[in-house]
Amino acid sequence: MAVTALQLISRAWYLSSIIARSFETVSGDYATEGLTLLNALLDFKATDVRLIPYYNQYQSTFVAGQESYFIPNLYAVETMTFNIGDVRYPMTDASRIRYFGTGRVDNIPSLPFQWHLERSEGGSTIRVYYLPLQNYVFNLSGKFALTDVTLNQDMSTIYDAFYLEYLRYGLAEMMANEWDITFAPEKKAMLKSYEQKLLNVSPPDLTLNKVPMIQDKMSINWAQVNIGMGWTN
Amino acid sequence: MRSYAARYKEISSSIVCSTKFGRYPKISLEQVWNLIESDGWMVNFAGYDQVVEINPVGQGRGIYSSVKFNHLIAVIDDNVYVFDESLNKRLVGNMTTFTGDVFISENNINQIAISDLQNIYVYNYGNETFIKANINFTPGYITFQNGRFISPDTSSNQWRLSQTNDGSIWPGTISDTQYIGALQTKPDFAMATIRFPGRGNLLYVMGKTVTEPWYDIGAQLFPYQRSPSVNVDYGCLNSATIAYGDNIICWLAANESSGPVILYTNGGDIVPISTDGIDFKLAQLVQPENAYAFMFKQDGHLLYVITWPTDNITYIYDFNTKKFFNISDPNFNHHIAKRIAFFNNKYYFVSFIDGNLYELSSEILSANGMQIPRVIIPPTIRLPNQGRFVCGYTGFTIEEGMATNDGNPPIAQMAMAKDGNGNFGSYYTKVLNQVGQRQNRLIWWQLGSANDLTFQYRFYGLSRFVATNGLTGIYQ
Repeated sequence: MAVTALQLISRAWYLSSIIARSFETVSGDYATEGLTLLNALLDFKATDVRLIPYYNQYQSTFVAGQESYFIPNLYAVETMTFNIGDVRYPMTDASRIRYFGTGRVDNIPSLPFQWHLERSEGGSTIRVYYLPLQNYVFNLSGKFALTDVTLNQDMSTIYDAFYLEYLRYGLAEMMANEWDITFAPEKKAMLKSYEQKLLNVSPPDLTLNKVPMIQDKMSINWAQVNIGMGWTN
Repeated sequence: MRSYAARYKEISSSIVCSTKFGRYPKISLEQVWNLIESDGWMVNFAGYDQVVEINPVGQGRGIYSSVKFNHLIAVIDDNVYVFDESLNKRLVGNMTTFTGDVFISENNINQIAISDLQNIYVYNYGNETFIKANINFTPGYITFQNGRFISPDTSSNQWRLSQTNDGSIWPGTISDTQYIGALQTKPDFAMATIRFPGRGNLLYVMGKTVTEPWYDIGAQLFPYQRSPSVNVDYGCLNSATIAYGDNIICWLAANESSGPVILYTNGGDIVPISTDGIDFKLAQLVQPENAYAFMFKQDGHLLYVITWPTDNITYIYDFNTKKFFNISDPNFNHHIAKRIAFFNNKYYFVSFIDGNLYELSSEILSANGMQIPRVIIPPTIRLPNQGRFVCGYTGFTIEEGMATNDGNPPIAQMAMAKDGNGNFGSYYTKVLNQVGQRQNRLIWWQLGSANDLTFQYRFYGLSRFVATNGLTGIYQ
């Protein structure tokens, strides 16, 4: 069933208790103000990516010799791989300290096994090391920004019903704050419970991935990269 | 069960209110239509039914109940009818006028005098004669006291006495000074003479700008003597608005320095009863002088009913609760009752709209078979800090389960105005229970926010409506 942004906004106004259900309809300034608040709420989810329920896949190409890549609306990356032909190679996440603060040899063109994500305005910048020796297609799995909507846009094609319900409560709370009205405690509690549940919809994959230096299955190391160029095991 | 009590501040829904609107809507929109207050509850104002069809295209002009004759006398167009206890009618005479006010009184010798503001007609039910009295003045509001009919001369400041025990004779020559009185306090025209109820020999002589109390002291030359120390500095805008009951007289008053105001007196000081809002409304009337009033008792409540047909509005004032209410026909036009009389333990009236006879009673719950719209607009809810508040619910106790299962159940509607100017939104309708289903709670939920909130409740149905205060829950 289609749920337009206006319908979501109207129900949020009713939930906020600012507009009377069954007596008043939402239009004019209330509709536009509601849309502004809804888009602000969607935008603000960038600050807490845990409440963005979906991981999306993104594909682009590393350019030979280029370290940084700005990806619009990207807020979090969980996995990255690059391809040489049909073979997919895993990449590992490097923390800021490890990426920027440890010793390394710059300007080595090779296979980009390491990546680091930095938030930028309007998205994120991914840096890779080594610098790509040649152009490689890469894939990442991450969370992207919730895009702004328009009044008559069908939001049910973008979000699940449960997430629309969460947005309704969140929007109603914003409306109550905007109108200087207390958001009813029981509704606030419901919003909190929705948030708690949402954290478990698409939780980060916390599976431990150990990369021991001594084992029967060899991991990729500097020597392999430089000598085998990724083709050794 | 909703856990609303802790969060909400509960205030009275003030269903028990009255027509007390202010000069401007922002001040107050408080109104009640076709309901009155009784023992802290709002109950239906009397309904009416047509009981005798006389002339559907005619016009009722006056009605009078004769205790001695034990008949009802009604003037329809130019016809004077009498009705027996079974309401069988009989034409007893014709007048020369077809329209306009008439005033009726009777004496102890079988005479009923009818003034049509041009002539005085005397119907003698003893010998079944109907004559036009020979008068040399312009009659007005006529009354009877101590053996004489008394009438003002509306073309002068004089008022006249009939011959004792003969209403057909009105001596009026210069030498007949014992039959001619005059307004003396101010230059004025006499408008009405009224025997004061419950005050013995007291007679009120009303002009346009002054009212003088006169006492029948039985003096030889002229039996009445004016009170030397007291008069009312208001006259009467229209003698058709004069009504009396118990021991008070009420009328639409005015004087040379004041616009219309509704006053009453019990023979002592005058008491204005109209509120600021009603006085302001009176000042806006197109034809304030085109007004009619009567007084009657509904279940012990003494009610003054005043109608301005041109301006299409009717108010009642309840002397028991000292509150105003609006009453109307089914279409919110003015009420149709023009003149009323109590006869055979029932109230009967002639109407503005036709020449038929109607019964008025609180036992009648319709307007001649049509639904009577009953409306309550309680006082506006505002906070001293003008702050916006959320109204979670409003409700009140109402009687249900009294309507017959005729497929047309009674309904209660509610609308809200949030702009402080009486612009009400859409109505939310709740169907009320029919016969036998008496248990109920009438509550409207989730009413939004405002800082100036006025409710309007409407009740439609052919059953009685009985409601009292409930609670409205708000929080900030």
